Amino acid sequence: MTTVTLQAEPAAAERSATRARRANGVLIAGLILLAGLIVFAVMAPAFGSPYHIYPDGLNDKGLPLGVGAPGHILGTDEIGRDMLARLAAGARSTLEMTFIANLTSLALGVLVGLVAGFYRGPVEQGLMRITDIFLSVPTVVSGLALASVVGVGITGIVVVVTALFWAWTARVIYGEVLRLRTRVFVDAAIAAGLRRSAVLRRHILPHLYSLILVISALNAASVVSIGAGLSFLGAGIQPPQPDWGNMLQSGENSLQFAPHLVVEPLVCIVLTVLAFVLIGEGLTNREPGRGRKSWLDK
Amino acid sequence: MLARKIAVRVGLAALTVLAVIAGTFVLEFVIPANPARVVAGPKASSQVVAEVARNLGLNRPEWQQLLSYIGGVLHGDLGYSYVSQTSVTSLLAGRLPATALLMAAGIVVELAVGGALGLWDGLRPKRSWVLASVNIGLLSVPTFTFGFLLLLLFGYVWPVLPVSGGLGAAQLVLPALTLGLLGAPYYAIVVRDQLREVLPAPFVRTALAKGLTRRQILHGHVLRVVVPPVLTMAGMDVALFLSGVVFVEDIFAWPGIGQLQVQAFSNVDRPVLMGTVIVAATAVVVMNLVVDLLRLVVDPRVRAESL
Repeated sequence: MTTVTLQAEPAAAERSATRARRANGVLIAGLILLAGLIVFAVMAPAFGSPYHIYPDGLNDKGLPLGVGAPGHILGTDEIGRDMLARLAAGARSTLEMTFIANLTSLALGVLVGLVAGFYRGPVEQGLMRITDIFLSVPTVVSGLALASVVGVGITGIVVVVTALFWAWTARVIYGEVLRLRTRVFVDAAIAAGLRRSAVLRRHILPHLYSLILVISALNAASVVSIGAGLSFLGAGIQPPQPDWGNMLQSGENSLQFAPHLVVEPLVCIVLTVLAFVLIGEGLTNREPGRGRKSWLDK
Repeated sequence: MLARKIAVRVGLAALTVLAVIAGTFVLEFVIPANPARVVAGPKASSQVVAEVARNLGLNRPEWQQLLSYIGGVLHGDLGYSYVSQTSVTSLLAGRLPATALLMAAGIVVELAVGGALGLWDGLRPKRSWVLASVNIGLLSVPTFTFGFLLLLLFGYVWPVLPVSGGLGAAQLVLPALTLGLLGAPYYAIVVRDQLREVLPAPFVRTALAKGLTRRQILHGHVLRVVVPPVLTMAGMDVALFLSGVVFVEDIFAWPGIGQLQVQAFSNVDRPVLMGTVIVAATAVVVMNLVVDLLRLVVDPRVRAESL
């Protein structure tokens, strides 16, 4: 009996430690991938102008050049512009949009979650009802409707993405704040005379930092995904300014003759989303014993 | 007690739908500078715009407009599409069956593939990391990416399936696979985790001692535990699918409400856009309510929880 119990303990701890080590590997992989994409975006001017139409950009059948063509390593698009330059410029606009929209939706979500979780009563009810309403509308359907009102382009899409994504962050933070506020240190702080806003800021918020980090990584993944999707449907950055989403849209018609026009932006999008997902998964599993947060939103 | 909980949930659901309707009202009539022009379309003459303005009663105080808008919606009046000169309701009603069919097919794919994978993985003695990595991989692939991939592979590289045109069974395969395969790993994981939890349970050992075969135990006892969470997830998937369906219908030219929404967007056909939002949000709210109520009724543990 005793031998069995002794053997069980180290096994569990070891599994936890292996999981933590594997998670660190995943996290680093994600960070390296993201760094690579950022470098790619920053180097965009080095690849030439994404608007320049090369006179020899199309072959004699009027079709775009494929991968590995001389002078255009990733080929050209349907009117003869260099794909490498366009993809790099697209990386810039995509990463820019992701950064801003991620920040705004996170900030709004964290604020609402904090306030709702801490100040109970009608404020909590009201804020949570609003959160529920935003969570009830399917993302893309309402994204298109909203985009028709706020307009297209980078500001428009940032506004739309923020409106679509703040609610799930609010919900998660709200749940966590509810759990934290029952802890003794909160009562102690209030008994010591601290104002509630100060308690929020100085006592509760620090406990949320690692959670917020995980949320921001997964949120970024969704933002890239939906942002590219909305751009693909015409609700984002407009051509001729290059953006992976609108490159997909213009490339869609040439699928049969020039599939690289679709495959290349797709690979870029997938790599970007993958980078954030890896970072998020790596962060989630770093602390041994901490449960996984379910992420069913896409 | 149970009746009160049901009533509260139904009431909240109704309030949510009303709030969404009010939201679309604000987007369609309050924010734009000239709502009559928005409804009449960019190509309408000023006379038509004036008449539309009169019909909409835009000179009335806003709250009155809101009330009559809500009243109209509740009676099935979602406005008119300036593009096709038909009522939005009839447009949506015409396309809803196609989308419903696609979503149902997607759920079938999800359950079949996910359930099979989960069962296979759950019934094996050792843990496997295969499912977890597949999950990460598929999490990173947005719906439209997967759609394009399938389109390329099976439409052009290996042209076995038609890529567009019509509502046939052959045309259903690719879009349904796109919707369904991406969600399958979630189900696989849920099924596998449920199995892992249930299989070591004492009642399974009792059943085995009673002399039941493996198959009998699986069917009669184990599945009963595995099925409820899967059903809950399937209900929640309606919301996710309603988003994915927009991309899938656009890529594969499936004539459903997703495709309608995309066309409405490029035409800036606000009544259609808002009408689709209302219908979609209502579908999500209703589905969540149904799932919630089912759980309340079926699972006695949930009933004991306080509101």
